[in-house]
Amino acid sequence: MEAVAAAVDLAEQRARALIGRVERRSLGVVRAAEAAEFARAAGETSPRLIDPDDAGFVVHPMYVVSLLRGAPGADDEEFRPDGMYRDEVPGTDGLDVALMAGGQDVRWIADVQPGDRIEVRRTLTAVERKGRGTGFLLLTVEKTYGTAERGVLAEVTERFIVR
Amino acid sequence: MTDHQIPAQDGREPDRPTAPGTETTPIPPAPGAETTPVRPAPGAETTLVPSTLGTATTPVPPVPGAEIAPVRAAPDAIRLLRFGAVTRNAHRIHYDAEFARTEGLDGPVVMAQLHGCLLHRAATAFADGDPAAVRALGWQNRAPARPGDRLVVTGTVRAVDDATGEVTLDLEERLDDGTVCCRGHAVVAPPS
Repeated sequence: MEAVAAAVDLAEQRARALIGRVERRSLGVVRAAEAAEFARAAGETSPRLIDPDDAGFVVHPMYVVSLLRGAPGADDEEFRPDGMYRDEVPGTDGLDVALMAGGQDVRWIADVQPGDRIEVRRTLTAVERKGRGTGFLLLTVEKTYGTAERGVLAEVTERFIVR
Repeated sequence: MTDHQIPAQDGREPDRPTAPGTETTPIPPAPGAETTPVRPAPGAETTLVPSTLGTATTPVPPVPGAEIAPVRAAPDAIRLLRFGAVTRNAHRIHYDAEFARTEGLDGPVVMAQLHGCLLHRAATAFADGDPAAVRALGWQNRAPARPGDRLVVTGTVRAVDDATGEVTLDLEERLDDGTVCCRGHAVVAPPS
């Protein structure tokens, strides 16, 4: 229990030092077939989401904002023992803490289209200690998803729980 | 707070299940209709708004308080594996039961993004099936769902913007026993 408390304390200390730092990552090029696969995996049945040959096909709006990585994925050393990416939750790399997603707020500015080369910009904006005792950390991250040609396509506020 | 619950982000206890028979009484989905939005039954007591926004098929214009058609799903372990693969999410709490228990969970849990997709589907159904009409979506994870759990997303019209025609929906996703898994909202644009 003390080890967990110390790890949460250290995660908080590290995370606070990262507030405001802008990080960038490429998610690669959006492919219609992969967006359709995402939609089918999510349980969608609308041809507009699962059939790239449908006249009304659109990239599922949740596709890009749900991607943790683009192709070709990650190397072994990029993963934590719990299977998460070491840099997914700011401040937690190498720490034995439990990570959970707390939710998202997504604002779509323009449709993501096949062929878009997506870049994510991420900034940790808030670190809060919640609950009783050791409690848990609530980290708030602001992200933008966009392309060099089309600008920002979606804005996301994402929350992570560290305990 | 039991150890399998997601901490409420305001530091309070997570939502508790409602008493049996209150608020929602989930209806078992028809075979093969895992995720099909349910249209209102003729003569239903509440005013359901399956599709709105002034289209030709609109039975009732959106008004604050109107209920939208619920969306039901029961994502199983196969769906979680597929969803994790396409999103490159290898977090073990989604497929490794033993590991999930070491994290204080009862077992593997549904991904937050998959919850978000279900809420998005409910908002899309409200928008006559136009995914791009959903301009904003937000949700908080309140309690975990396990593979095979039956989920229902319900919603009501919170507000209609007279100037833009945009409709704001309050959304909620519950388990069969009434436990709230997610609370959220969506903003849906009028047809262009």
